[in-house]
Amino acid sequence: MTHKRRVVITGAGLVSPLGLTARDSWNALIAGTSGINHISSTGSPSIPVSIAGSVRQFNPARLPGKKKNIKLMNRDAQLAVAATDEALADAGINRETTEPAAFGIAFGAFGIQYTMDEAFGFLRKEGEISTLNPIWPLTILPNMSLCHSAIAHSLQGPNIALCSLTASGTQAVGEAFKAIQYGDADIFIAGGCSSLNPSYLLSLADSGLLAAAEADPSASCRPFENRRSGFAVGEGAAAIIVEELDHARARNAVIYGEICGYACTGEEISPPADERAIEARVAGVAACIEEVLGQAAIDRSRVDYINAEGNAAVLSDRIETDAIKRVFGDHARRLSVSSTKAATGHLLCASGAAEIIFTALAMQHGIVPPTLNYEQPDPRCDLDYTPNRSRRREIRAALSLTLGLSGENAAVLMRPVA
Amino acid sequence: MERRVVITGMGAVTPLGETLDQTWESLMRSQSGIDYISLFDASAFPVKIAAEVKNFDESKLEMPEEMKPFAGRATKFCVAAALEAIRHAGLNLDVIDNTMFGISLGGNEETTKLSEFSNAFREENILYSLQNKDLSYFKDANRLAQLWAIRRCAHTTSNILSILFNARGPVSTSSTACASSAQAIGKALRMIEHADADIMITGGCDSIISEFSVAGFGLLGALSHNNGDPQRASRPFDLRRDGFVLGEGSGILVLEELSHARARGARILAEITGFGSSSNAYRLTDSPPDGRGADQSMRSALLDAGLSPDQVDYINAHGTSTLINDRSETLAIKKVFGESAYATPISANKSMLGHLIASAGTIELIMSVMTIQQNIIPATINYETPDPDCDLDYVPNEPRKYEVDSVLSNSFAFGGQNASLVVERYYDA
Repeated sequence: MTHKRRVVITGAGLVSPLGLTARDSWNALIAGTSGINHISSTGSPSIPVSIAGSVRQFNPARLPGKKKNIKLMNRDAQLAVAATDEALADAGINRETTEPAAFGIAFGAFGIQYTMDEAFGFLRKEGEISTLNPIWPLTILPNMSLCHSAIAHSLQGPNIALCSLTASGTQAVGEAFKAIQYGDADIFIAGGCSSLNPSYLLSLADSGLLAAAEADPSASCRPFENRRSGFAVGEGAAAIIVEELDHARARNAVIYGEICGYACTGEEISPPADERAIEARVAGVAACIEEVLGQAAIDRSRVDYINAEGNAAVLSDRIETDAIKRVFGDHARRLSVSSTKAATGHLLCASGAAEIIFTALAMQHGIVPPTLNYEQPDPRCDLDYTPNRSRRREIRAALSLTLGLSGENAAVLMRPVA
Repeated sequence: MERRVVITGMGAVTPLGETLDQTWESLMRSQSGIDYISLFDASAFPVKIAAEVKNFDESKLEMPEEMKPFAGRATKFCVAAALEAIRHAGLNLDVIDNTMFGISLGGNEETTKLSEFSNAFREENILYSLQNKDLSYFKDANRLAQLWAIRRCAHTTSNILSILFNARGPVSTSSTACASSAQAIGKALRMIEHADADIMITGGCDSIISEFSVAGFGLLGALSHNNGDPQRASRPFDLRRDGFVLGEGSGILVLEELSHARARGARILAEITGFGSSSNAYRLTDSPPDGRGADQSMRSALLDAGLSPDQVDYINAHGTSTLINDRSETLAIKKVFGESAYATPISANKSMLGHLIASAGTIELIMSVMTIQQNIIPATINYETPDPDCDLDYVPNEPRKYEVDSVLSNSFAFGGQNASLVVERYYDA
C-alpha cells in the first residue's frame, strides 16, 4: 500500500437558509436561530409543501463571471457558484500561481429539474417546441452547477459529479478526499447544492419524510425528539476547499482541520421495517463509523462531537442513535451529538457538505451547535443531543454522519491539525 | 502493493442488439442502428430519427414483478445488461463478501417522456391524493408506477441494482451528461484500487428518446437533421456531419480486483489501467477551439496507466458527429499524440450506435475490450468526404484487423466535463 497523503480543509463557502455566507450561517446556527419558515409559493398549487428553509435576499447579479452566464444558470447553479466563490476567497488561494489544471471539483446535485411553467406549458401546447427556451436543456441537467462553478473559477482539473440524492454532498467531499489522499490531485473544491425546485418538492411531497407543519413553522422539525415527524426541506449550496497538507502549509493556508477518514456503504431500505431489518440498518451504520475510525487509527474516546444525520424520521433517528451507542459504548453518553437540520432544514444534496462545514467550525471554535426544538425526550433516543442551546466544548475529533434517504451511509471523520 | 483491476464480465443492450454478442456482430457488419423514431410521434418535430433499442422484451426480464413499477425503460435495460455481465463473469453472488461489492453507475433514469409526465400530472386523483395525504390510491401498482414516473431520479437505477444484487459496499451515481458512465467506471476503478471494494458493477444506462430531449437537444443545434437518410445521419469526422443522433441503451462491466478474480478462476477479459478527467472551464455548449480540457483528460489517463502516447494501439473516440466536437477532439489527440496521432487508428462507435448519452462511455469501453479480444477495430461508418480539419486515420467504413493491446476511450460532455479510460490486454505478470 502506498503511503497515504494527509488531507485538510482550508476554505468554506455556504449559502443556506441561515445566511448567505458560512460565517453568517454559523453565527445564526450557534445563536439558535431557525431558517425554517412558511413558503408562499412552490411553483404549483398542487404541491402540498407549506414550510421550508429558503435562502433569502440572495442576489444572483452579484455573482462573479460573465452576466450572460448568470442568465444560463438555474437557481441550484447560482447558489453553487456563490458558495464556491466564497470558499475560494476564504482559502486565500492565489489563482495567479495555481495551475488551473491542478484544481479539481467534486459536486453533488439533485437531478433533472423542471419548473412547472415550462413543463405545463409544454403539456398544454402538446409538445410544441417554441414554448421552450433554446438553452432549456442546459438549465435542467444536474451536472450544470458543477460546470458553471468550473467556468466561473477556471477549475480545469479532475471532476466528479454525483447524483446520489442526499448522500451526494458527503460523497463529493469524500471522493475529493480520496483523490487527494491517493495523489490524483493536490487541491479540490467539493460540495453540493439544491434549491426548492418544484420537481424536487413534488418528489418529496408524499414521501412521508416531511415534517407536519406546526403553527410556528420553525418548530416543525424536531430531530431525536419524541414528537418528531420528519424534516423540513431546505435549499442552499456548500463548498469546501480540500487540500493536501503540505500543499496547504507551503502557502501558509489557515487550516480548519484534517479529514482523516471517509467511508460510504450501502444498505437496503425496504419494507417491512421489522426489528430484524432495523437491526441490519443499525449494524450497517455502525460498520460505516467503525470503518472511518479504523482508517484514522484514532482512539474513539477522542470523538467529542457527532454532527448527526438527524433527519427527524422516527426510524432513522433511532437507528442512528443505536449505531452511535454500539460503536462508542459508554463514551456515547459523554460525547455531544447534534442535528443542525432542525435549524437549516434538509439541504438535500448540499446537506452533507454543509454539515461537514459546521462540524469543522465546531471543532475550530470549540462550540457544539444545538439541536433546536428539543423539548420532550424520546426514551429510545437518549444521547446528549445538545438541546436548543449551543455549548462550549473542546473537540478533539468530530464525526459528520449521513444516512441517505435510499440507504447510503456515509461518515467523515475530522480532527484539528496540531 | 498496487491493486490491479480487471474486467471479468460485460453486458450490453443497444440499438444494435439486445446482448453483447449481437451488438458486436452488428458493429462488425458496419450496420447502423439508426431509424425513424417509434417511441413517440415525432412527425411534428424537426428531428425524426434516433437509435432505439428495438427488440427488448420487458416481460422476459428476470426482475421481481413488484420492482418493475419502479424501474423505467433505462433501468430495465440496465438490469438486463447487469444480469448478462454477471453471468458472463461467472460470478456467484451468494458466495462473495457483499460488503466489498458495490455499484457505480452513470445514470439518467429521469422522466423525460411526455406521456409519463402528462399522465402523472393529468391524473387529478393523484393531485387530490397528494393534497390530502391519502395514499390509499397508490396501493394499485399501475397508479404507483404513474406517480413513480415523476419521482424517479438518476440514483434510482443504482438503488434498484443494489437491492437486486444485494450490494452492501459503496453505491453511487455519477451524472455528467455524456461522460456519466465513463466517470462512473473511473470511480469504480478507484474504489477497487483503494480497497473500498473488491467487485464493482459499473457502467450506465440511458433512454431519453422523448419529446423533451429531442426538443431540447434539437434547440441546442446538437442533433443531426438528416431525416431523409437516417442510417447515414451519424457521420463522425466526415465533412458533411451535422450533429449527433440520440440513442438509448445500457452497458455494464464487472470490475474485479485481480487476485479476487484469480482466486475464483475467473476469465479475465482485459485490465483497466488508466482513468483521467478534466473540466474545460470554457463555455456550456462549445468545446474550446484549441482542444483544451480534452487533451488533459487523455494525458492524465495515460499517465495513470503509465503509457506513453505511442504505446496506445487504438483510440475509441468520443466522435459525436457534431461539427465542433470532432474537430476539437482531433486537435486534442494531435496535441497529446504529436506525430504518432497519424499512425494511431481512431474510430467512432457512435457512427453506428448513435449517442447513448449517459451510457455512451461504458458501451464504447466494452467495444474497446472486444477490440482487444478479437483484434478487430470497428469502423467509423458514413465516412465519405474528408474534413481538412479532421485528417487522422478514422478507420473508414470497414472494420480493420489490427493487433490491439491497449485502447484509449474518450467521453466528453456538455458543460465541458471530460473523462478518458485506458484498457489493456491482460498479461499475467
